[in-house]
Amino acid sequence: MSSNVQTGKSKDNSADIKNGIRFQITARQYLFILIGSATGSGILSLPRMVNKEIGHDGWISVFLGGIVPVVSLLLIAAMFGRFPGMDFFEIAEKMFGKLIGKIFLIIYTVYIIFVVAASLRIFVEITGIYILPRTPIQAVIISFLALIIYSIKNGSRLVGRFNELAFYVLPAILLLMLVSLSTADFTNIMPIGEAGILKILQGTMISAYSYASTEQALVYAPMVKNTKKVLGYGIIAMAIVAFMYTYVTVICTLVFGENAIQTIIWPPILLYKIVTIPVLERLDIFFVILWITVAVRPSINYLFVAAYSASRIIKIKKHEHVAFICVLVAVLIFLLDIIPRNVEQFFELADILGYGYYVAGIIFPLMFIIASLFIRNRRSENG
Amino acid sequence: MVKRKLVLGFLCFCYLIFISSCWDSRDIEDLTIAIAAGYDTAKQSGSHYDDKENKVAVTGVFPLFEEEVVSSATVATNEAKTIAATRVKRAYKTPRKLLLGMLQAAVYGDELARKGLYGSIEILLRDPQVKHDVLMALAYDRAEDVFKTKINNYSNVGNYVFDLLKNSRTNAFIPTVTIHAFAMGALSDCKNPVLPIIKPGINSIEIVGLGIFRGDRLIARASTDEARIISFLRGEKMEGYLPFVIEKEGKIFNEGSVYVKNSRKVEVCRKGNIYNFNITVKLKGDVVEQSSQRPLSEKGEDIKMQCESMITKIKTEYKVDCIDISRFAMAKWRKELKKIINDEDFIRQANINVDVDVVISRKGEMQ
Repeated sequence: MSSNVQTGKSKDNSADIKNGIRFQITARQYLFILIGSATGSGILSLPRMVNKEIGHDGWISVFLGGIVPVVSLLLIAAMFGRFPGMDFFEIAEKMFGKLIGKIFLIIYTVYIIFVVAASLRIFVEITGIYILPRTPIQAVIISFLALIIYSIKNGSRLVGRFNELAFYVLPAILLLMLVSLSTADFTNIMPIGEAGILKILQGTMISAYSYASTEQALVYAPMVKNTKKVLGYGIIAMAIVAFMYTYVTVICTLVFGENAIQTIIWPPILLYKIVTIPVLERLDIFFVILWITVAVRPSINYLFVAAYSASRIIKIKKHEHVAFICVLVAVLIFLLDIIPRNVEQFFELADILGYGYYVAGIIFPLMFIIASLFIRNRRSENG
Repeated sequence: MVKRKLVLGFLCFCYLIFISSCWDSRDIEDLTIAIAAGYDTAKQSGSHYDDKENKVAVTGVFPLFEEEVVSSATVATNEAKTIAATRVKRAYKTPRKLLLGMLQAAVYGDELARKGLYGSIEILLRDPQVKHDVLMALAYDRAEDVFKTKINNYSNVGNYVFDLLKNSRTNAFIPTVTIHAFAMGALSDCKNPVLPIIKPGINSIEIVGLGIFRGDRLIARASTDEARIISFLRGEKMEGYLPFVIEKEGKIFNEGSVYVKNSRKVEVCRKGNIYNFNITVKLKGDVVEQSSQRPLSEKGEDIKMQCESMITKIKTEYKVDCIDISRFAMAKWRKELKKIINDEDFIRQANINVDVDVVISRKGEMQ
């Protein structure tokens, strides 16, 4: 990994996209990036999805779903452990050669681009429904893409800082949610565990999609200054995400019950519409305003990964050129975002991308580890 | 430097469009704000063949904010095939755009309620503008009549209905029901909602009882006295003045009123296919008035008798769980009960016992 690069190293490599200061993050920022990527629009449809598949025990699957990203983080850490000082792009080419290695990297980058397109479109859709119903979706997408490019063009350090700042908005959102508990029915969640272990485990695989963010560790982990903290902070991030997901799913199930929740596209938003607090008349508007800050993070984090990966694939070295790549990727995402007719089509795409998470977050690092074992064995056989 | 200025210029352009909400800006003077709405079946059905068949009538209450207007609100009824289509009819007659974000109360006619209300509230649940704590009520006859009642000494009839429904929980032992609560009751496996019934009088509107629903369909009406007992059994958190009479050896021992808050505890167990529900109604409150200094009974025998009589009525007449106890059985045996919980036999065959616990905490300034 790039731990050998110290902050304040000579100015010569400060603009280098592999070793430059702009492309270094602290372990804390890495933690906030992972949390930020996982807590976007997905959390808004998760309670509906798990209640549809598993019923009132869906929250157990959501909690257990947190194991999958931890496995992914362990594999990624093991992979980087086998190639000290190297990042994902170097490892891919070293293991599989330039051509096949690049094919892997292109698959990864294309997947990430689709993730950005899906998360941004769903985000814009919600903004459109609650705040800007008459504004053309293209105008909203362009505005947000401009903001995102501005946030990422100067490297991962700024991405990390933004994620840290936006993280502190989350407690306000989660605390406001408690107000809706005045309408909760605690029998909605009982009897606990009635769905059975098999069904709960099946649900775990569905809910694990929502934890998608650890595949970004392939890019962000080598950027962390203190590499020893990468795995620990990653696991802490996933524990926080698991807590938030379970918290939101439990509250939604308590308030709506397993039948009604299936009729609502984004149940957590409705939690803010069912009760009125004096002075804060429209809680849902407050929620959407706060939520915009939080939910734009996956688009920022993933778009950075997409632009950075594209830059590395085509061997761009200076950070100024990365900004240009950011714009190109953003244009591509804009085009992808305006193709689907409605949000339903993006939900379908998001389901497919869920499988992509398993490929990028688990199969890729596992494959690299196995390949490295083979190569090591062959080398030892050759003496 | 020039490049940087160009980027900044582009960003500023984007944000000006975004923040100023060019496409979403609306002039408040160009809006008609609905604060209450009534939904009925249409009076004039029209012709089925020429696509002018009317099915619903929607009455809206729109407060007027202009100076020098005689009335404080306009009330208008439009009939059409669907609720949304009545908005088109309204647009033919009134120049301003409709805003539903301030809607506070929705009243439904008896005939419409007997056909099922979910289809009529769905339009409100679907609309992102509308909050889900809009208060619901059932009109004794037509909702239109409720809103066409002239109310003296009140800003407008919409606000009157809203205040009446909002405070019924603390004034009259009548539950306050939001569209969220109604929808949850109508959509769930084992819950059945209730709605307060309001009736227009001379220059007033009054609550006259409680509508009992199976899912989203009105099946029966209860009087205000019955409504109070149903609310105690349902465990709706309410408060109000409760009269009492204590008799001993055929003579009135003590009578008066207490101001009580109610709560409920339900326990359920089963023996074979028979489900036993033990409901404990707890009434906690203060003495407000009494005819003598004799000690008060804290057994609530009269309330218990009324509760038992209501349970008999529920089992034999309503045949629906309007006291919201099935969910406690579902909480224990959800999988087994899911298919049979809504059957009439379930509540008919259930063994429901009631106990009333009265706690007098204060007696005011008198002994």
